[in-house]
Amino acid sequence: MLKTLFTNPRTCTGCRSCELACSFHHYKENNPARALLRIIKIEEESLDIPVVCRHCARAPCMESCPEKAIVRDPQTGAVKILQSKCIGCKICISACPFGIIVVDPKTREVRKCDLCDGNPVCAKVCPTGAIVFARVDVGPRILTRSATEKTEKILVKYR
Amino acid sequence: MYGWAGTILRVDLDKKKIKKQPMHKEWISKFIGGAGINAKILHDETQPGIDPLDPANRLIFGAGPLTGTLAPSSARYTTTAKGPFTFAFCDSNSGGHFGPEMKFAGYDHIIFQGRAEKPLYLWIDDDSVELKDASHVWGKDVWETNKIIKEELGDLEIKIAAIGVPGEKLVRYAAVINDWARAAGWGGMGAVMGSKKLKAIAIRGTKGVQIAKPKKFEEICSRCREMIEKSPKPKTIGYYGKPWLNWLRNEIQKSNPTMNFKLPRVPPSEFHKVGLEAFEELIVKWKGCFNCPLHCGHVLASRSGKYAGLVGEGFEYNHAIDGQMMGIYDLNFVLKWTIETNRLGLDCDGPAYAIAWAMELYEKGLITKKDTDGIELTWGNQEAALRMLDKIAQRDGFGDLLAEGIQLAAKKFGRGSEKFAYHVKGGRMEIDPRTGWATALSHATSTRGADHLKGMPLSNAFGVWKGIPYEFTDDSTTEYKAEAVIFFENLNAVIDSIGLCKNDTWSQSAECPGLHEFAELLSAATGRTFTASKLLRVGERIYNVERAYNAREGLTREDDTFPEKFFTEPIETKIKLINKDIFEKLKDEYYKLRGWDVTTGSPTKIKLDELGLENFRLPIYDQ
Repeated sequence: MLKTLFTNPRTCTGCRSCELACSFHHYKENNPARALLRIIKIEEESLDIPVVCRHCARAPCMESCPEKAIVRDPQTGAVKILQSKCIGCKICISACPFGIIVVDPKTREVRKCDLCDGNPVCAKVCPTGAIVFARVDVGPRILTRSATEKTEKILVKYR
Repeated sequence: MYGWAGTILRVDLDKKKIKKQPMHKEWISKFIGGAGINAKILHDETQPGIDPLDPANRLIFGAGPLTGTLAPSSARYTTTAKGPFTFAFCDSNSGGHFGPEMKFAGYDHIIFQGRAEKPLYLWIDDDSVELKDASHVWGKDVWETNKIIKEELGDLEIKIAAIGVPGEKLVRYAAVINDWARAAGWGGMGAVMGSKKLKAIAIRGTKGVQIAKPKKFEEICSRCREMIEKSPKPKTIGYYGKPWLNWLRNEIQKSNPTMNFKLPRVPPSEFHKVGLEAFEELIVKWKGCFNCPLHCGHVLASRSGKYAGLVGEGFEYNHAIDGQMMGIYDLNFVLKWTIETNRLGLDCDGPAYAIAWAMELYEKGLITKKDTDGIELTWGNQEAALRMLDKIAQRDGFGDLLAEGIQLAAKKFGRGSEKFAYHVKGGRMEIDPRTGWATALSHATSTRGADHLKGMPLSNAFGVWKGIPYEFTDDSTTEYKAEAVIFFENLNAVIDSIGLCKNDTWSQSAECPGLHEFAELLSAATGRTFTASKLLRVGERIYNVERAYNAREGLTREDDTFPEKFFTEPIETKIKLINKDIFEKLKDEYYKLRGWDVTTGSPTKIKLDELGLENFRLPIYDQ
């Protein structure tokens, strides 16, 4: 079964190791501004929310592309941009419900997450499991486990 | 350039001129970057004897070659200036995301000089750098300033370092706060920034940091990450954060600054109120600086009592101390204190230590309600502490005196209050020097006033380095302690100069990356050759620059000492108190090993020449 990325804002520390590792993997430089995922920080509320491409089952970016430049990789299930076909119209950016398709600040190309060809570095470096790469049916269960940690503590305490 | 961004930014606030200079090759090989090059610049560009709040002082921001890179905990940058309350060399290090952003925009160092006519802020958008009017945010707190500037520049992801009202009003321990809740707290860098009428620095960087050998670098970084993950750190500091150190000091080492050092530690009957279990109750989640696998910060929530519902980022070892210094054993209050000092733009300890000093005077009857504007400064009075904090921030009434820091305040106030102002070179003590000999020696000789982050050995790393047995907990003999302090002073100077954090390196744990890994990381990142011993030599050079700066300011061996209390009043530790004779002998040994003059404590001509620091000699040596 295919694997994809799951996020857990409750455990995200906002360290942006994922953004950094993403940029290093794709461009061999330390440059979170070029990352293909984002940690959104809402500082007033002390929130850190990881935003990754969900590689949607019915992907609006793919459907909106006039040049059919966005395709699904049959091996990894990743929704990918074929740079050779992309005309840079940015309609996919508008179509994406999560706003996670980006324009690269250096090349000005439209870029998106490609799951690092099946081994995403963001999930690998995340120190707290806030980004998890898991089988599509297992991922939600990992999040359930994480969410019950507090209940577990209370139950143990008052046993 | 690889590793380094390659550019130093010079901002002349008098003339509103901005100049970009290329990074000097010679500086790199001699001082690496960050705190090292900062120290060199401060020494070269300021005259001895200047008032720290005069336009002639410099305020230097510096990031290291590893800042912003894949190296674990690469978040650090250093601010350097002549210190407003130590009147000596001073630097202050901070994490968050600001330092890396400086590098991403293409700058290793930013030097501020002069004083602006009207309040300004600096806006760095990669290559485009401009000074913008800040009159509309002058008088606003740090968080409002952040919000307004981000909205004005139209990008919520810009990274900002700013000062609050205390910085503007030159409260001597005002902090520079970056990324909402990370502080360059020690030393009063916020006051220096305020004296220059510089409200904030806003940065957006998209250029990134380039690496000479990416594949190799990635490999070493993963190895370092693994080392940290396998070390004891994630279970201690990674879980409890710095309050873990508070527990360690109080319960294991049996010394912990409490009630202005009136008590040797928090009484065991009270400790459960501020201990690890009480702290655990507050945890909502963990919070980390840029690229940190350890995340020693937290988001905390107060769930009961008068601050119930309060949520915010917190808190450090220091904050925990602050509460107990004022006799307040309540972590909910500590959270409130943390949030307020971050919002206001104050170092958390500055006001706490000043208020604690005043509380002791109040108890002894040296001051009364008449002096304190009607506030009852009794031990443990939370409301009084918070009201006084606001007064300090505004320099209002009695707060104006406390805003001077304990050394100056005691001098101004007189009436025997000096006896209760516990400091070294104006710097307050966050760890009781009576803990042990290395602790005492490092606190006394630190270049920026009593301080545990310059040279206090915190781990058995020394053993790793030289094979000399050194246990964290056994600080009760003087054997090897001078050597240990020197090693850690040099090591910490290296860590602050390359841009990594002390928490997950040799500075605090021998299992974490150390000099050998630094050398590998730097070599792969920059394409130059570094070795562990070469790095340690750089550390020594940097520390000598700091000491030479202080010698030029007229500081001598006499200043490397403690208030009388620490020589005479015993506590529960093994060494009980600092025996003056042993202490002076230990100092002799330290200066000798350092190659410094034993009578003055200043770096000798021979030592400076040997380190290639010919220009750092005191004029007297050239006669």
